[in-house]
Amino acid sequence: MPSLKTLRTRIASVKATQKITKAMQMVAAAKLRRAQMAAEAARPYATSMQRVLTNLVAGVPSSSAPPLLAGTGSDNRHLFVVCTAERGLCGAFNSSIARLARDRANALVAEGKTVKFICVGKKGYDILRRLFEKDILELIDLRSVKQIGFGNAQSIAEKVIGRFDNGEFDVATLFYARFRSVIQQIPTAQRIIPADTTSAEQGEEAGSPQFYEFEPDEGEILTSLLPRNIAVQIYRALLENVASEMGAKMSAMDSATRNAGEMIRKQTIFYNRTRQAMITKELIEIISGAEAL
Amino acid sequence: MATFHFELVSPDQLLFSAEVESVVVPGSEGEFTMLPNHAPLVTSLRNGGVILVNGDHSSKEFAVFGGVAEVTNTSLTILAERTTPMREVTPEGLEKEILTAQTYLEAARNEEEKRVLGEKIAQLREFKHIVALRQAH
Repeated sequence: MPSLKTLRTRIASVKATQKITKAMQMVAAAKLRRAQMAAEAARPYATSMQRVLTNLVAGVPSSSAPPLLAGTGSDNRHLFVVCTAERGLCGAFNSSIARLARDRANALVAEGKTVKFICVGKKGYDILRRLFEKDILELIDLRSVKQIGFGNAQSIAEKVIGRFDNGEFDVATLFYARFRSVIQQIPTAQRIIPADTTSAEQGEEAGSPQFYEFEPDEGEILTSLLPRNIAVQIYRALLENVASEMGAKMSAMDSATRNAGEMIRKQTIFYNRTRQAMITKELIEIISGAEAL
Repeated sequence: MATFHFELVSPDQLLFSAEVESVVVPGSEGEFTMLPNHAPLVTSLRNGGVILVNGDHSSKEFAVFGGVAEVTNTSLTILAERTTPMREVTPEGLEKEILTAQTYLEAARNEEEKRVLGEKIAQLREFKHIVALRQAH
């Protein structure tokens, strides 16, 4: 049987842990609010961009479309841009994104296609490295970034487009977790090259096609707009990811706090029982000692 | 006077969204003033100032650095790459931008990039000139 002293220290250490998880939960809640606000602020640009692009695409014949829109004509070489968090302690957040990417990659490899990775965020890199060490082209570290800005997304987009222009891959897919609620984050795969315009057409705002005039002309606007659209998509993914990470962390820390509370309760009962048993034992010893006299 | 809906958005925020009477847009093929019932148009933008007149005849100015404008019969949406209120724009700040663009120009590899950056520098110079003139007044 453990001594009373070890029981006391055990309870104290669980209490300390509970304080930490409680604090982490509150920090995550505050950060989540900020992340949601940032995601909200970025939405008008993304929707307008999508609308303009859809209208543009409708007016451009597919034969003259730039490769960023029409693709290279094959789909043998894939690039996965996997966005995860820089920190752990957020439940299954990182591993579920990495798992989705891994399953997709395994399926494609089984079909005889090649898959390369660009990892945004260290945690996803750590998981994928075990399986695809030599296929990871780059790790983009955003640890020092406090608030993700459009510039971060743009530099990632430039790297992706640069590789595309060099002919390193045919199809690029973006992996991130869509934020549904604090307890639900959905790992999502989204194709960014060639541009995915089908989802936009199903959007509610694409109802009536507009007949625009173009200045200078469709082609030129399209070539300047497509790379920016990729940056916007990545930006949105990063913001959603931050919100998802904070949501996951919040619920993970909440259950950790609750588990700690449960443990404290059980340990305290055990401690009291043990203490009682020892008192009884001592009493019996004293009484039986007195009787023997 | 009739009004139309105007939105100015940059990637990280919505800067302006309200009914306005007119907006001066720095289109890449030339500056134009948009009034209600304009024909639908999509145009790329140069670096320059956006001047809008509110319903109550007060005006507001923003500086935009590249982007796209989408015009429909009843609305105007400017998707700016970057934008700031005009009063925060100074000739010195623009000079700095010109210098960064020039360093990029020196590092540019192909003709296309050089052309784009050269154009950008010319636009920034012009914009700086306008801002400087305005401050002198």
